[in-house]
Amino acid sequence: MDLKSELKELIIRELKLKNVVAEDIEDQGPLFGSESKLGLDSLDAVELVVVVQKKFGVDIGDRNTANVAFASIDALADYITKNRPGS
Amino acid sequence: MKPVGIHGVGTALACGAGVDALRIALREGREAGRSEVGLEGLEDFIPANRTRRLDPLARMALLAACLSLRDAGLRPDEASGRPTGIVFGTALGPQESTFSFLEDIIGSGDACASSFAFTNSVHNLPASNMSLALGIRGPMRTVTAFGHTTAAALLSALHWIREGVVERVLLVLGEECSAVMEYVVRRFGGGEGNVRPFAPGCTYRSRGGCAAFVLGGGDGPYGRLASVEAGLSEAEAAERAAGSDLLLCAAAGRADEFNLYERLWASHRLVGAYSPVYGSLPTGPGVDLAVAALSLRERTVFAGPGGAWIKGSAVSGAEGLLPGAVAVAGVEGPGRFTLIRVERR
Amino acid sequence: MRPNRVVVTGLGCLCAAGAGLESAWKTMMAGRARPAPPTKFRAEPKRPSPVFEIPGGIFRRSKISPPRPVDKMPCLEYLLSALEEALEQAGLSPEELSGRRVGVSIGTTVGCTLNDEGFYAGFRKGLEPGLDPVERFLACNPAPFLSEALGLRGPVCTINNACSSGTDAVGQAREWILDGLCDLVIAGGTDELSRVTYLGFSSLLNTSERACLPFDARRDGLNLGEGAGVLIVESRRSAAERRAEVLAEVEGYGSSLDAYHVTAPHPEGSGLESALRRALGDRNPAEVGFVNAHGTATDSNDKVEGRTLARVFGPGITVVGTKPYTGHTLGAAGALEAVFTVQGLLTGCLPATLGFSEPDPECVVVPTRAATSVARTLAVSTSLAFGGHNAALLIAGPGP
Repeated sequence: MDLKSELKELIIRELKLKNVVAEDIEDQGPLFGSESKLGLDSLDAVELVVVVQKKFGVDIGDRNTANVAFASIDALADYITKNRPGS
Repeated sequence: MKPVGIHGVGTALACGAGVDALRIALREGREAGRSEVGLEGLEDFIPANRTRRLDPLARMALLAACLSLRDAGLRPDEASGRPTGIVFGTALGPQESTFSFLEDIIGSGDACASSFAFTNSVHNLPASNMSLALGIRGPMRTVTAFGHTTAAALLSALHWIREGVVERVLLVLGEECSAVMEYVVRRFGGGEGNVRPFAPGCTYRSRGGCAAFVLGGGDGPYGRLASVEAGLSEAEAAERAAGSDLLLCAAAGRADEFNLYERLWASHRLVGAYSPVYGSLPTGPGVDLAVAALSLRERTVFAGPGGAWIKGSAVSGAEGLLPGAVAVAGVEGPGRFTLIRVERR
Repeated sequence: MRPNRVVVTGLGCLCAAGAGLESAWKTMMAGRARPAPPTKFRAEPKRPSPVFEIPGGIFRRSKISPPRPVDKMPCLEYLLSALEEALEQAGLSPEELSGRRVGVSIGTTVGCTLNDEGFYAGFRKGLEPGLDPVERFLACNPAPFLSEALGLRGPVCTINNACSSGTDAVGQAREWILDGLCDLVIAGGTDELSRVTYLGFSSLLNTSERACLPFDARRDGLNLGEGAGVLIVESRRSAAERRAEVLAEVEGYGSSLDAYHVTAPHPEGSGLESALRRALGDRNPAEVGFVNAHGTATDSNDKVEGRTLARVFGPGITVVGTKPYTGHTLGAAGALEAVFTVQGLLTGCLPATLGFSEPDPECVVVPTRAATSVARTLAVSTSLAFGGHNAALLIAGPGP
């Protein structure tokens, strides 16, 4: 599975989303905020930080980094690829 | 003193969800056996996307709460229509979340501590989640004091209603059963088979379950809370229970139970322990309160499963009895008791 | 006027600032605090945070004989230490309380959870671990434990309302006395530092890597702490009969939910305002001399709390945040802060909110920058808890 698909499945599973499948999540669409259809909030954001740490060993520890990395699936995939241990 | 009544009852127990399931189990004498508490049906009250992060205990508590509201003739969105408080009583707290948090830090490392698991492991989260789902903005209290829990929870609710802090209280009492607790019970001597209150040896069978009540001013369809007393000696509890038609003991199959309740049950002519129906719970008096309420509403003494009778019996002593007052007793600690009396005129 | 007015006759305190109220208050008035990396456990979160530990062995050895040893249960050791001090001030001995209708109302978070890592680590490997941690969990719930240790017959309740537990415990004590359930209550809160809460708060990105700065524009999170606070709460009649010195009166208490979010407070502080108005009763907010704020130094708490306090009491209200001296002691916080509120009324002064220097317009209020004189008449203590719960106490002092 490519990274973006993996991220979509991870978000659905770990954030316990209901009635959402991977096909519903657009690569470039916003993940957070009122523009997003996913209904994620601040608690989901901190959990996503943990999920990314656990699955990929990548740390997203402060608000500014999170704003950039969590902007969309594309942005998150990009951030992980650049910051993965060994890359 | 302002009367406080039981206006709605909801249960999520091993015998099923809702008072109807409890009533059927009581009438037909069904035992909890190995059944798990079913958590389906919450989506009938609250959309699934709004309950996605709830853990099993929060889910169970919210389901029982919604069922009690429906029983009181209220939709979930009507719960916040009047000043309402929430009291949640639990001895063991959120199990799955507590151990899931440990699982992550032990299995994956300190940096992988889950914020979802930690948040949900905080004991007042079931109450907070009820508040969020139902829009309730009144006072809230989560109490966790083992045998003292049921009385403490009721006393909080009574104060708030009588003093006019709120018009009604959603009172939920319950426990989650987990693999860890089952292991602990097994090591303490419990195991397979069914709960046998007062039988020799340990027959404790942890099952999990919640009972919820809508309490408010005036007599409800289930009657009124005539008194809630804590810290009574066995003699005092026996004396208080004397005027009731039926005494329920929250005996749960512990090995020392016979001694704990001996004088109390010896003093009353009709004594029942219905834990075989719903399993062993530290907040057992809470479920017994639901049984007492049903007994009064139905004007009946339920036969229950064979193991439920200590004294008198559904055939020879209780047949034809139309109970107007039921007492619920629970052990708080060595030599001290909670006694709750519910009456229906 | 209520027949059963509720007063405070004893105070006990154990926290990083000191063992005993006199010692802790002296340290706080001198503006001293020493948050440091934890030494009692090892933890490696991504963002380590300093904590406020109680050094081992500094607390009062209690004369109360507990029903079982408490050496592995800091929560209970701390509680007994603070209780010892409070009883002494109230002029009560364990012997004279034994067998009496005295209530026990205690707040805690760690003190009622089974989160022993060693036990669970063994369980998950199928090793069938021994049950000592479970026995401790079953025997050491703070309120039943104290009631049994002292042989008391009054109501017993441990409250777990997260960060507001200690405030709620005092509020509950007041309710019991107003209801005539008992004339005297041991009310308080206790909590110990643990790896679980340390890692848990870190996972929420709520902790600061530096000393916490309540209401400061530079604030970026909380520091955890541990300790216990105890107040002897009784009816005015009971205190008069015993000729006990009345230190303060618990005039009001309010509890209210935001129903907004599981971890974030309502942006306009609607739940906090509701709790404050309930606690105030028919008292004019202008009569309140100062507020001991929850002030955790997280971005959202201080903004919401500050704005709400300004709205209810006016933007110039004197506010003190004492967590820079104690850390956030969770279940003990509300009790310790109730103790500090009474102490502020008794002494007529408050410590500086240590570390504060840059006001944040979003918080509106500006906390004490230095030791500050206050009127000894009326004060409020607030707590905002996880899950959107808000609690407030209205405490009346000895007067001018």
